[in-house]
Amino acid sequence: MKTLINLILLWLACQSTFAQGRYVGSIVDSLGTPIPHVSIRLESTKTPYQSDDHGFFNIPAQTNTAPAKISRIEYMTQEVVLELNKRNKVYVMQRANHILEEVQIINTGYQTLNKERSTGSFSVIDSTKLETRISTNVLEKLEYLAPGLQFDNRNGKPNINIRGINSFTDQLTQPLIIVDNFPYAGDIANINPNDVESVTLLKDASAASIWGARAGNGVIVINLKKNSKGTKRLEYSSNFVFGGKPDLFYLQNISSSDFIDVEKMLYEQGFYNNALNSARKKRFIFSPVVSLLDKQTKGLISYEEAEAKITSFRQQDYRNDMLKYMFRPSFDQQHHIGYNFGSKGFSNRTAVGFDKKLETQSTNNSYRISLQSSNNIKISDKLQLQNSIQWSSNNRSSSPANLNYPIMPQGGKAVLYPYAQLETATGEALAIPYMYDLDYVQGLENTALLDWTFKPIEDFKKSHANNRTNGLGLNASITYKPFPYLKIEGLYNHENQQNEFKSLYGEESFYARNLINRFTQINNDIVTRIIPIGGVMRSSHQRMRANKARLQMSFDYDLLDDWMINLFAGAEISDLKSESQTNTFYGYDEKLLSSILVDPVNSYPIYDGLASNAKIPSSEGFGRLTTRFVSVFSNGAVSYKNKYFINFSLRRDASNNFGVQTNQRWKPLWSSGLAWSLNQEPFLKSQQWLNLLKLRATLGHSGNIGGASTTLPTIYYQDRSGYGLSNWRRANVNALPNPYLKWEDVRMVNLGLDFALLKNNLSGSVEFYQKKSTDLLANDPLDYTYGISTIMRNVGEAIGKGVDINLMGKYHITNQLRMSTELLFSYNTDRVTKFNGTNAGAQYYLAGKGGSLMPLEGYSLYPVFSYRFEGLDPQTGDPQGWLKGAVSKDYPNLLNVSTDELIYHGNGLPKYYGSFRPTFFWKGLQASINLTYKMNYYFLKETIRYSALFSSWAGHADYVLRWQNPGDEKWTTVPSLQYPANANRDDFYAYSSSNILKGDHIRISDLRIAYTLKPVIANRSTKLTIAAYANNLGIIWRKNKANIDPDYFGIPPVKTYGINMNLNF
Amino acid sequence: MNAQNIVRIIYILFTLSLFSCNKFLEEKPDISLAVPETVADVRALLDNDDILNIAAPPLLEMGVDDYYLDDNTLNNLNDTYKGIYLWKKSYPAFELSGDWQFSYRAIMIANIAMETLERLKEEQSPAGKQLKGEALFLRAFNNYNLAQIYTPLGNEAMDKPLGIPLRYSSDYTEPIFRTTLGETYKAIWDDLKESFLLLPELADRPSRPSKVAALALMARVSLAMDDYENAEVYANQALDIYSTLLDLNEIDVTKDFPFPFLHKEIIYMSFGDRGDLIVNDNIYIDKYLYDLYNPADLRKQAYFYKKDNEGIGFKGNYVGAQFSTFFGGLATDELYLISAECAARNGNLPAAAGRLNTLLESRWSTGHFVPLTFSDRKSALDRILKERRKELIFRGVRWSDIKRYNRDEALRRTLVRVNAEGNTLAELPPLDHRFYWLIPEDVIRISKIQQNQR
Repeated sequence: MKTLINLILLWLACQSTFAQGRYVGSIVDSLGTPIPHVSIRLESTKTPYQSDDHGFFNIPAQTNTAPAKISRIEYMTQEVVLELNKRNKVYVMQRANHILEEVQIINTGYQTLNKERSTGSFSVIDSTKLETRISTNVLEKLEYLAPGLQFDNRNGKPNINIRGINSFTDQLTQPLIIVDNFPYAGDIANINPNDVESVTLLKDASAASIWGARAGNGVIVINLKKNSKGTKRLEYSSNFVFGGKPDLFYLQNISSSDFIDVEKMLYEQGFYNNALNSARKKRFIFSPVVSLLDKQTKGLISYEEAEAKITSFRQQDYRNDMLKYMFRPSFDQQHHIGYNFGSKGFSNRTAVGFDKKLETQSTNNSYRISLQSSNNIKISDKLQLQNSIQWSSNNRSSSPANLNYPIMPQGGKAVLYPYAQLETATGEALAIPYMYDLDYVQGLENTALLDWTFKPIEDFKKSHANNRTNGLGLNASITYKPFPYLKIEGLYNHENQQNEFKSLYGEESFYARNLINRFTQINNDIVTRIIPIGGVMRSSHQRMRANKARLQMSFDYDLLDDWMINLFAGAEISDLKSESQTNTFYGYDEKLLSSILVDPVNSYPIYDGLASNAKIPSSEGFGRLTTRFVSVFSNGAVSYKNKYFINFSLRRDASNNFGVQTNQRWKPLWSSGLAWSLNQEPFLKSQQWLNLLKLRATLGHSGNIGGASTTLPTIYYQDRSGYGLSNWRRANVNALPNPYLKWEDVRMVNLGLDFALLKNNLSGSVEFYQKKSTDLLANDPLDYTYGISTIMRNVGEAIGKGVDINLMGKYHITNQLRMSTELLFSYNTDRVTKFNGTNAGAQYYLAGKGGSLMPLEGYSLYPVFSYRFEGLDPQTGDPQGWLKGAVSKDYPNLLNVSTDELIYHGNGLPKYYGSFRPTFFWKGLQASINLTYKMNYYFLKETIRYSALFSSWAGHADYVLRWQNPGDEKWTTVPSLQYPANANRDDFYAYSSSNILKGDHIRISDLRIAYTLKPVIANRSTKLTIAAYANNLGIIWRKNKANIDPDYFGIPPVKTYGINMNLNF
Repeated sequence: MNAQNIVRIIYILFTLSLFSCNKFLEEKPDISLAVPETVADVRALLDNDDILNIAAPPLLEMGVDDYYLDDNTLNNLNDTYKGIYLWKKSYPAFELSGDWQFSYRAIMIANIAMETLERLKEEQSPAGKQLKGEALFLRAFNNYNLAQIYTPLGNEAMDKPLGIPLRYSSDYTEPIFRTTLGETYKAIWDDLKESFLLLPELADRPSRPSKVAALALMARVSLAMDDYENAEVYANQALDIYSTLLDLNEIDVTKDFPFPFLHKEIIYMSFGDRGDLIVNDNIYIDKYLYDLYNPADLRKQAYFYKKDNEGIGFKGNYVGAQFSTFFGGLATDELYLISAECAARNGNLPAAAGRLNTLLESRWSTGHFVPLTFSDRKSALDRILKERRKELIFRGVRWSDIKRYNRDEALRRTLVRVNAEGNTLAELPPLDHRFYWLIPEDVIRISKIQQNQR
């Protein structure tokens, strides 16, 4: 490269020596803005020249006038005549008409590219699109906005994937997130979405390869707003969002009346006798029905009295009490103000945001303050400095007591009986059986012990937790351009995030009272409290610091008019450290801010033998994690005549991945791409209807880091002993010697077609891709005779295929009424093509329910399997399966068939998904609706399990549908109630094909109506937009008849309605 | 500055940074994660009591006749527990209580400890010797427990491949296969004998092995193999070093958990972590067994409680804590009983009576116990074995004892499970193949080793 530069310089110098006069001028666009780096080519000599950064040129002249061709990407090539020594001659260039309104600039985090010239697969989501959903989290706003971007919401928190899953390990399925040029280490909630300019998805190997060994799952690049143009502007926005209470009744639980019938039956059968008559009855909990029946049997109350009470319970459902006392409608507000200003050589943007959330759980509130400021300083034409600071403070207060439905009462039960009464008729809080027998704790009232009852609608108010996260981000970069074609950049980023989490279980909370009581000893009226009266404070601190630096150089040159060359290389280093610490304090008094030391070392007796001697629970611990990376990268791109594009990139990464030998640390990855703009070809150029037709093809590798390869076992030190046998330092084996691990590799081929027709009124892209992921890592089940039950291994390969289609149409219905439509369609399948790990058996694969990565050759990565269901036995209502070629009820063996004998339904993630978003414009009014769909996937529906119902109170509404009489098998698949329950029978039915449903559905994700006013105030053009939103409007069509929202395993999010005001001044 | 200089400077910086890179990348990703590099690391591994001292397999007690279940509890049991309780020929054999897994996990840690000591060349240092001794003991203890529940000792020839898989390294690519019974027992003895030479006489705390623990285990193993001469020698050697007994008069036997945690009789602490079937408030103590205790015998209150009108429950004894009612470790009371039994079998009746009296003195309420004298071998043995059963209830020896007695025509008898009406639900005759349990299905499926034929 050095030689090349020298040659060019030498050659330019030679040329200028012959000069006698000069052609001087400047080139601007239709708005008068100078256009830099325009190629100027004299017709006579074919010598190429370039305009400088400000559009000026100064060319040695030989004749008075010279015809020349000026050309620049994005502009129409023009033939002009240069005139000798005419100083103020201005040449105006027109933008090329095939360019959509604005040139799409892609920021890969390393460089900004013109989408025109790129070969890779990118999706740009700009701030207008981001406005369609209201959220305080920028990632949540992206759902349904780009093809190939999928949100898996099943487990409550969205798991984002770009073009499917390429890994066998959950931790390795997430895309890499970049914020302002660097991988973001902090909590994404620190970023105020109002400060986001655009989000770019890097979807194929060519696009992502620049991020190397961490880009195997694609990259999400978030660019924050800056004032690069030096304009002066004020922007203000406010949102108010209202939501309902969560729909607790969405969960299909057994009704109170049915539950009571079951309890009565069990009581008759003597199911509770052991516990009721036990000398240790105090350690078990009993429902009111069982207590009443027991008292009636013992003659303590009359039959009528018991029956009357039991009958009154039948209409009771404690969800009503919970909704009344523990939940409320949500209310969120967001306010944001940003100010841009600039003067010569200096520009700044500063923004402040304030968000406040009142969550549906009545104790939970949060607020966020965010501040962002960025400067751009132009010291000279050659030297520029940028710096920015982001600071945010997130505060969330909540109750550490569990405010979720169902209530978990402990004492051997999984969930509370459904007819629990949480309040009296007069609205006083009632105690429920919790941890211990209610009669027992109520009988202790007159002792020196603290009240030992648990009242759900009061208890959660007695404790509070505070979670505060402060995030600071600093960016600095320096750009030096010694020559127009050479740019050297140094970038630095610092992140600092501090998190403080404090849970105070108040003196009156059950948590504190229970601990104090357990550790109370009463001997002859002498009361000894090992744990002092007072609150229990748990606190933890986390601190994360990350430093990242990069040096990069890019060389941009237009050679011989038609050739454009871009070379780009650099190196990067990053260091991320996080430290954590936790503590517990007893006898905590909030007002005095004092605590009392307790003895966590010795064991003390537990009150009344409720448990054996125990130590006072404490949580002390420290942790420190370090992640380091060193990377070198380079990229070269060449284009010819703006028609043919080729690029190649190469990157090597190294990390401090544990135990890896130095020589294995560096992972080389490459990618290359080709593109051809057909519409620039002479044979199509004349076609007025065709504005863009571009073919793209890329191939490349990216990676996934993971796995500690070492010839030695790894160990880790643990906190103190759970059983308290000693206070010695203890270590455990983390992994067996595992010298054979490699990093995952994803090879991806992408073919794309971009088009725009009919004056850009119809545009879009179609892309096909194929991914082959090799050396996939999984925590493979191991025969535990080896002493450990899993080991990280490279167990197989998977192939993913898919299509992403993006269509945009614009249509003028009348002069005033316009419509634009965006259609997104994604198709994605994956298949494990090679699996040499352990087949852990049918039950293992079924337990995944399509929601866990469970590789098996020939199936998808989230396989949904079931047992073959052969109907109910017409005589008994027993579920029947298929074993060794015959109908069978041999449940233990049915459960353990080989995986070949299972029914494979398909993928747990949709094969087809996308959205359809029409927007209507009428004068200042704009209305849009986002219809989204997910098709061709499966899920397992919950059902009744009698063994769980009997022993742990967990019941399902399918109970109503159970087989009761011969003939019922014709209309139901729910097995008959059987006492004693058979857990294997329950399991067989629960995982049988009769409970696998299709997940296909269409939903209205959001609706927006906006009105924009453009008044002129104080001689400035102003833009005021007022919008009304509705989000999460729910499903409008679904394949399953069970009324289940297959996107969520739990309760789907509540509908929210919001208004937004946006002022641009 | 011209381009050439800039390029040169960048080139120099780049080269320099690459040199320092490797050092930069040496930093550990998780400060608490390490490869074992010091003797202290091995010490910490072998002090992991949450793993090493909870590996006593509850299957050692699930098949015994010291307890029974009421009909309601039995009916509501899952097929696996039902199969185990009723000694069924086959049942869904899953890893329920960590019997297989926890034992092999302890063996794995012992192997890693020994590999590390070898790599560090620390096998000959005083600390290294002790650690190696502990690791060998651990491997022997766990192999022995596994052999008791999964192999048919005494019923089959020692050259049949019915032993347990023996693990000597941490290499997960080595195949898993069943050894012969002879190899299994040889491995146990080799480890025990070597560990005896390396261990200190007494440990700082009973969660660590000691010479006494090795001797106590050698006595237990000898007894299980009908080697009464050696069993007596080992038991007496152990008692010479440590013979402390806990006088039950010193503790409040009426409490729910009367035994102090890690009390002074315990030589080596080990208990079952779960074992739902026996570590459960649902079990009742066999009425015949309960009636064997004299009212003045403090164990009657220390071990048992009146559960309900139905019967007697078990409080749990030597663990001294709620988390387990199954103690599978080693204690001095067992040594007294081994010594007494072997003395009686070997014809030394006064010695047998002496050992037994010392023990029982500490079990009975002060002033009530009348010292025993034995007139003949048979009555001595009868009494000693009865006392052995009473003392060592849910202590991990009863299953082996039953198998041992069954090899003696005079002592053998059939075990029975009956329901509330007195109907026999199941029988287990002597020398039956059902005296060894099924190997967990997961192990069979992955490693394709031979399942036990019950």
